[in-house]
Amino acid sequence: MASTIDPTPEAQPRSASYAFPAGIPAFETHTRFRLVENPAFAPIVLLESELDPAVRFACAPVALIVENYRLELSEDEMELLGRPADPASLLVLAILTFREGRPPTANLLAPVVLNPATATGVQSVQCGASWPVMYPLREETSCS
Amino acid sequence: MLVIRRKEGQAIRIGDSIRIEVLESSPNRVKLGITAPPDVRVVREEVLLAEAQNRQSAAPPTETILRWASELRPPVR
Repeated sequence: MASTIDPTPEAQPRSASYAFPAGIPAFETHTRFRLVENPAFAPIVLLESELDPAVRFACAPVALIVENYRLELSEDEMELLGRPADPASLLVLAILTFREGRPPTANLLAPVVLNPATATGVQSVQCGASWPVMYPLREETSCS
Repeated sequence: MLVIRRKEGQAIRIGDSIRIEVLESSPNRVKLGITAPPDVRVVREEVLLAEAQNRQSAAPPTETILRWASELRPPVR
C-alpha cells in the first residue's frame, strides 16, 4: 500500500526535552518539559510537562513581544543552565495567558530561559526589574 | 499599613518567632536578613506573582493558541 510522506521537514512538529531541575513556580515537581514547535502554532511554541502533558504552556519569544528586553540571570540560574558561554544562544520565552474576551498577555516578569546546548531550562523571576507579569499583546479596544 | 523607619543593623519582630534585620541599605535597594521558623514560607513577592500567573496560564485550549498564533505572525512581505 502506498503511503504519503511529507518531504518538507519543517512541516512536521519538532520537539526537544529539557530538564528543569527546579521545576517552575507553582509546578516545582514538574522537572522535565518538552518544547514542541508546531508550524501550525508558530510563532507560539508549547512547553509541555513530561510528568503530566495536560500541564502545558503556550510561549512566544520575548524578542517578538518587546524590544530591548534585558534579562538578568542569578549565579544559581547560570549554574542550572550549564554556564552558557554565549548568552545569545539561549532561548528566552514568555508564557502567554489567554482569557476569554481579552487580548492575551505575556509574562515578562518571569521568562522561561532554555539552553539548547545543555537541554536545561529555568523560569527566571526577574526580581527587582519592572517587567509586568501581564503584558498585553494587543491594546484592549475601548468603547467610544 | 504599619510604617516603621529602621537603620542598618536595626530590626523588627513579627510575633515571637520572626525577625527582620536591615543588613544594608542604599538609595535603590535594602538588604534584609530574615529569621523565621521553617514552616513560614519567605519568598520575594515576584515569585508569588509568577506562581499565580503560571496557574492561570497552564493548559490553554488548542483552538485559542491557533487563533492567536495567526495574529502574532509577522506579515509576509
